[in-house]
Amino acid sequence: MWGSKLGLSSIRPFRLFNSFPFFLFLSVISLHTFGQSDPGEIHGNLNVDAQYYNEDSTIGATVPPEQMGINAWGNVIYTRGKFSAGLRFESYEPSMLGYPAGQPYSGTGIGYRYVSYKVDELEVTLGNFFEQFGSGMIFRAYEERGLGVDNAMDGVRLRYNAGKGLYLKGAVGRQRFGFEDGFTKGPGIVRAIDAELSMNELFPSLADNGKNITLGGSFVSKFQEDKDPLLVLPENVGSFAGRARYTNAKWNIFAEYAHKINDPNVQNDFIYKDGQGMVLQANYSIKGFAFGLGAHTYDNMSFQSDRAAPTGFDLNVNFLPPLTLPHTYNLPATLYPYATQPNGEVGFQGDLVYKFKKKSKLGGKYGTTIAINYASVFSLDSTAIPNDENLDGYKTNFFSPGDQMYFQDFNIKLHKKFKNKSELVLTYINMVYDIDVIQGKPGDPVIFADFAIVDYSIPLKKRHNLRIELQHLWTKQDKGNWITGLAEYTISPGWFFSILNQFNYGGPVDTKQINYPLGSVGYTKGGNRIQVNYGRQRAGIFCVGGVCRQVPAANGLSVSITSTF
Amino acid sequence: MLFSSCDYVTNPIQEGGGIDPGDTTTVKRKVLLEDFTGHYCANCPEAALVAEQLHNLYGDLLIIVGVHAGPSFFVEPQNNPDGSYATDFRTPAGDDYAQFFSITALPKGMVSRREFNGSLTLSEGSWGSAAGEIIGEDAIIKIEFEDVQYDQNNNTVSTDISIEALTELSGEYKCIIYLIENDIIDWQFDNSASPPDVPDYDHQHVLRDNLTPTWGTTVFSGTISEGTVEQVNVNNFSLDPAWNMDNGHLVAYVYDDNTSEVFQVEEISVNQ
Repeated sequence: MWGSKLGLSSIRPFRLFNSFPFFLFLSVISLHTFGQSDPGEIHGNLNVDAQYYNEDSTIGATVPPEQMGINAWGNVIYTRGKFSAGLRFESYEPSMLGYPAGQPYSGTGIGYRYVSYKVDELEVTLGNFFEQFGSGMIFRAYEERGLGVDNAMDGVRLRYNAGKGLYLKGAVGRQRFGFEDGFTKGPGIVRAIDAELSMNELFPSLADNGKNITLGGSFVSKFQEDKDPLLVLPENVGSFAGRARYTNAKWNIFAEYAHKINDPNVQNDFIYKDGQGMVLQANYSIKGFAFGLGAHTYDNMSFQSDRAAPTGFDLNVNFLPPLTLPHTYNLPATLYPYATQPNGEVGFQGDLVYKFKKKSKLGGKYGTTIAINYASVFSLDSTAIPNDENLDGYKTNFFSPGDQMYFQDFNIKLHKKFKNKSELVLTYINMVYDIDVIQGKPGDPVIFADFAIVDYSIPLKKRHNLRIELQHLWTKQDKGNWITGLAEYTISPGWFFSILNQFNYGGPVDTKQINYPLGSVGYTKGGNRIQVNYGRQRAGIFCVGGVCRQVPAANGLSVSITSTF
Repeated sequence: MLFSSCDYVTNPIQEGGGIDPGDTTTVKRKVLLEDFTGHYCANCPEAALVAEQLHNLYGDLLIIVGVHAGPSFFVEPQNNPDGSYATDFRTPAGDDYAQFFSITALPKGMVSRREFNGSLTLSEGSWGSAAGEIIGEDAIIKIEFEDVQYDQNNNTVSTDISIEALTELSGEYKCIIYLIENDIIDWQFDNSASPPDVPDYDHQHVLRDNLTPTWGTTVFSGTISEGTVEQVNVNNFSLDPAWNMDNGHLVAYVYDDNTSEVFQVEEISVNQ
């Protein structure tokens, strides 16, 4: 799992002896260990994002003293049989404005390094690793580079296949915190164990019927010294979770419950109430038809390995999976995305996908797909405790939504193909968005927004494709209406050109009616890709998995380079 | 093993507290808590409450300054028809500190500008622990207000401060003098109040101005032998007539220019 997190899934091998001395040295060690028949392979990739900033007071874009920002990452991984070792160089000289989401990154150095090997059924990882138990409600160490979130563990991990479908994992270490010429670590120690039992490996008859049931349980504890002069703080905070998944050819049903003991921290205002969470999801799918239903509740489930972590992005031990559709079109994705509320929320989601058959009235000659999605998220139904001497904060009933709606999203998407291989995607979104709760803008009214999006892709001639996107947002709140137009011209496989403009109008202040033009050119050859953008970037929100960071307004030239070997 | 990894706390409030004054003949290091706050920061009053609780615990060994600076949304004056949040509590020096120390969210605090758990700017939950690490250490620098003169007629303040190296020092040490004011009654957005718009909030320890340049004046430079004493004098510093110097205090501190760490701080009333 973590390999794909590093973006290594598509990279190609590179012969060892073309590499530079460090890996020659590394390989000598491994050759010595494993014999000299196979020298192994080295893989790697590079990703550089840089921006040169212009002053633009109209949009509130500022220029750092260095005038530019650069984020760069390079992975180099050596593998030989069941042995692998790798590291990631990172460079922020300085980091781009608004990046990362949490603790600042600065300088150049090593951000991740590990050694891993497997002997029989035991896999050992020393150094950094990513890991997840179940849905992640009590443990997920992961990296999301776009956000600047990286809570990688640094320690030891063991994975053991005990046979008969029983898989065991254990991990201990401290988490990555910030970056100052190398990664820094938080003060807390994380200890985690997990067991998962796959019933169809235990009972092969289940597998014969195409069914499977997996059961899992995990326990995670963090240790942090208590030096607080005012409060008695728990130094060891334990949490446990149990999960079950049932799958057959049509159904995929998952449930997980998690519980965390008293964990007073800066995110929950130092209350001592236990936390709990539950995730329920059922999906049904047959050819041309699928639906899914989901629900979750999170009650006081912020879990960080530093109880006073500077921000909610730092040192998270867990991850709370979202239950809202992550929109990809610019306006809904960056203006009003939903961010999970770890202190408390109850959410519901339903979605349905139906494909009208070809040659039917609605399906036309080439078929039509309709996708409908609805999600709503509410506060907890909670009551503050009067004379709260035990600092429990509040009382709530399990899985009970409160009166306050944080978010609602009804969206419908129609996807139709035509004879000339052109494709049309029509999207309508109706949204209710409590910007006070989600973005922390106290006093701002709840936003009621409608979006309509037309996305039309036309092949013009062989390897030439034009895609046009028109988006409109109507709202009487916040900054008023927005319209976005995008034209993308692609010449496969090498070139890519696009022009984007966003325009804000109908807002409460006339002077805020602003155009945000942005032009882009991209070129790909082999394992290398470069993209250059010039123009205005609107201030907005960037979210992955319900975790969101603010992206400041910017004006200038940006370059993005990726390279793999 | 699992149960030993869980500490259940049934009585979360620390009994007693405070610190043992111990040997009173040696000069102890005091702590400067710079509480970055804003009148439109809904969670800042709770942080201010933590600061006051720590002050109750540590007494004069903890000196608090409320710096209204940080993201403009929280701190800039507003042009509301009812006149709410119209006061500009910002100061040029406070803005410079917020920028230099990357105060990108509020509330945040710096405890003697020393890193705690890898961070310089701390959430209020860390202030007590961070202060506890410093308070009670033997001081390496002594600050003494030798004289403070408040001229009511000309509305000026003057002060003479002596700064003594209590051990051999090397590097560059600078002195900054703040003017702060207590009990300013004005608007504050407060999540813990209902309704949250509080027109008569009691703002404490508000940084009004710097009597020295933003980054202070150099008092020690190079290798300094134990017992060296330097003077910092400020003459006839003009005060804004809107400020009430019955509630005014001077806060003087000395910091290491290389690390930013504050090694000693003292506070005194303006109108004695």
